[in-house]
Amino acid sequence: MLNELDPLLHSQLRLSIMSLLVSLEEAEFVYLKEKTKASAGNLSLQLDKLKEAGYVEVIKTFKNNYPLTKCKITKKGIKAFEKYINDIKGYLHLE
Amino acid sequence: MDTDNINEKQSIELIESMIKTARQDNYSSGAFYYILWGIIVMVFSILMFVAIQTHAEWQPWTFSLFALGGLISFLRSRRDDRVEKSKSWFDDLYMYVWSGTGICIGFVWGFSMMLGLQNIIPVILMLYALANFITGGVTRYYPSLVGAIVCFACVVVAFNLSFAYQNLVCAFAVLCTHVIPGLMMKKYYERKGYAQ
Repeated sequence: MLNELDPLLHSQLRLSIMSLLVSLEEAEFVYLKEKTKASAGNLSLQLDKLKEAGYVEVIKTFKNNYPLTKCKITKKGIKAFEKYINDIKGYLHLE
Repeated sequence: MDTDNINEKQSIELIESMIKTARQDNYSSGAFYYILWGIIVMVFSILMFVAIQTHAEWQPWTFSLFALGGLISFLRSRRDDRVEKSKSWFDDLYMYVWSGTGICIGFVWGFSMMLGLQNIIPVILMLYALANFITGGVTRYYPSLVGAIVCFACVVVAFNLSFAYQNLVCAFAVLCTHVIPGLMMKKYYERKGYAQ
């Protein structure tokens, strides 16, 4: 019996964000924008969805007197990401 | 990039590609420190050999190279803090492993009289090989891992040589563990278009 894939993660941009964040301790908003090639508005919207689900933490701070947004994956986000990987392996018969 | 749903195969490909991207960014700034400290330790070892062979009076001054390396590293890390947009899990690994190794090397030099002149460089090489073995293995940077294995072999050679010649072995070990892996890393990122 195959598990249903997490709809929050089974989307190109949100999955890209999570894949980058799972490999890093933290990343700035501009880094995510650069790597995902998403528009600032769309990225912001998807980050809000991940934040609401408790998958990422968004930290607003300052760097050299300029506003800075940093993103970090949460423990809940890591668990969800791991589950997503395991579920997807099931679909692809990789287990 | 849009938010459209993707199929399972595309998901796996996307995850792999993003994880690879994040890991590559992590390595790109590491090459500088590899090359810098590799060259400093290599030059120090060669100067020590020359100083011992010629009974030069300037021998104690060779230690000032480490102060120079520390200053350059400090300035570079401040620049990196300003420029870097992401922080990797590996940053802490490098920081703790290498600062711990640095402290141990300091103890070895500090207690060199108790340890015996003949044992200083082999012990330092052992610590050096261990640190490279851990960081190279965890980050899966194989040139560093190969360098660490060469460095372990250099420990055995160094235990069988006089102090003066141990310095030459040390220079060779550092060339293999830091300078060559660092240059390979630098070349790779230059080809990819990353600034160093």
